[in-house]
Amino acid sequence: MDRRHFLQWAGASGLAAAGVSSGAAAAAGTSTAPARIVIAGAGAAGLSLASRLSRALPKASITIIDAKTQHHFQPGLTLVGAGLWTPEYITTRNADYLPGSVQWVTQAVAEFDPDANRVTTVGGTKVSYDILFVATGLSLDYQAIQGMSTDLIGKNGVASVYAGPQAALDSARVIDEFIQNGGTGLLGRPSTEMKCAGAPLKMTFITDDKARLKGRRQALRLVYNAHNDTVFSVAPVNEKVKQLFAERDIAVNYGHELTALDAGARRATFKTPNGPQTLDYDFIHVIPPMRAPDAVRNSPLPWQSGPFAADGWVEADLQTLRHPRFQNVFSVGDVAGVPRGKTAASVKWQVPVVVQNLVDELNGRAPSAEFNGYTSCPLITRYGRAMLIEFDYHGNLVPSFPFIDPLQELWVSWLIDEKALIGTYRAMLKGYA
Amino acid sequence: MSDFNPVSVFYIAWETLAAWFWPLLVAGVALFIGVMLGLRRLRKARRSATRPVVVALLWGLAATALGTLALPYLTHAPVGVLASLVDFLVAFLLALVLGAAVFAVAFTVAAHRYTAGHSR
Repeated sequence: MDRRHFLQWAGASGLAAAGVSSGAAAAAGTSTAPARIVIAGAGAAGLSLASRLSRALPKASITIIDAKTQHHFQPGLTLVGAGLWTPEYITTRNADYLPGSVQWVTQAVAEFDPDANRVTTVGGTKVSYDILFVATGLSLDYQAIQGMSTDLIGKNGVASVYAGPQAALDSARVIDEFIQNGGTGLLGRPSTEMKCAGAPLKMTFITDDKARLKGRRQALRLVYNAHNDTVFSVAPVNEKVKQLFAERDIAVNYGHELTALDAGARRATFKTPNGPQTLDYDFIHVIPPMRAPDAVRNSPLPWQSGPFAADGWVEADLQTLRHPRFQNVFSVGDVAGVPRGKTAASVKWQVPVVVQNLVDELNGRAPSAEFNGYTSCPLITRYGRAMLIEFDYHGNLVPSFPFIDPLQELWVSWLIDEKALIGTYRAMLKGYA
Repeated sequence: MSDFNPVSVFYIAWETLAAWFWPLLVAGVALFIGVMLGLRRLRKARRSATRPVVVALLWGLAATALGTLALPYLTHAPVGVLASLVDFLVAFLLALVLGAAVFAVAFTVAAHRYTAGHSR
């Protein structure tokens, strides 16, 4: 659906709704348009969308499509990997967050057909829509690392908190074994876009500090493998982390991207500007390349050129998250082809924007909300302290709390990460935060 | 902080405290009622509230001080992690909740004892 047709459809819906829609309802951010809405994906973005849309569009028919029934608080995976939280603490049921009025198709999406305004599930169910929200999340491409598979996590010194709560728990055990036995630990990140880009640094700091608390730091050599010439994309944060790494005797290899793993021999191969380099290790924390799910990549939805095209991220306007070629398609969360936005904190700001803009249009008004690229990373730097880093598309630091210095290691930032985020996240899933 | 409003703060508190939310809310109301009953009891007995208040304040301040130092432990942080002024300030403000609860209990008990002879 192009912009002209979308506006025609929205206008017709608005007119149809005008008979029962009051000005007060419109002003309160609701519309009674009887739209058919499909949300592809029941992760943080999908559930939050479902909650807000069900309140904002009480006459709409909302369908959410996802085979996944469990919900994981993914920002908590590093704290499971730190040995502080259990997998059970971060695991709930998607059903607990879905409003009763939302229809849930418990199958994965197999195909997007935005020309026909239709998605097809793996079971062959075809679901038509007026408006589509793509919120599928992303795929962890462990297989892109030769010799790596999720089966290796927890064995032979291989850790990876990204693969899920159990993998994070196994990673905590591997870290403990590494600290006990000593040796060389390799950490790093992929060169693709990734969710929570602070997590590789968190795991490095956690491993370092846990070893210090156990009096074993001198037995370890820690090496962080950065995919380019920085350790973090925001300049002041990059400088601060480099300073902390230097103070804590954490070496950095720049321009190193993990390409192959020989878990039996404990050897890792990296692509570097000087050709492949193989390093021995006793412990390695693997973070795989990340891409859009196949159903998205194989559809017309991804960027056709530019930095987000290769991995299939959905083409989107940076401020509205609307698809420029398919005006009735929005992408939210990890799958959106925008810079920096692959965190739950971004979802918290993206969802109200797309919902508000949709309501505006259904009520015959111009879209009024814009997303500024906000994202947040409570960067744990040791047990009990973190830096609460928040920034926008331009890499500007945008602290929410004026009394918290984003570049200072503080307990209060840790407190927010350890105690307040999970409640805020769950309130967000229910559309209240 | 512009996105925080009473509704979102309520839901964040509810989700953060989880199963503790309603018991804590009920306990808070009970403590408040205890203080109000203590004040009424003192007024009926025509006794000054100064002594029970001072006793309760001492208990409350002691609880706040202990709470300030113990709070990091409740966040899986090593004791002694507080370093900056903002850390101490936030810990103190949160510990004030504990201090207020202890104050309420102490005041209620002190008011009861202080007026025990007068209520018969």
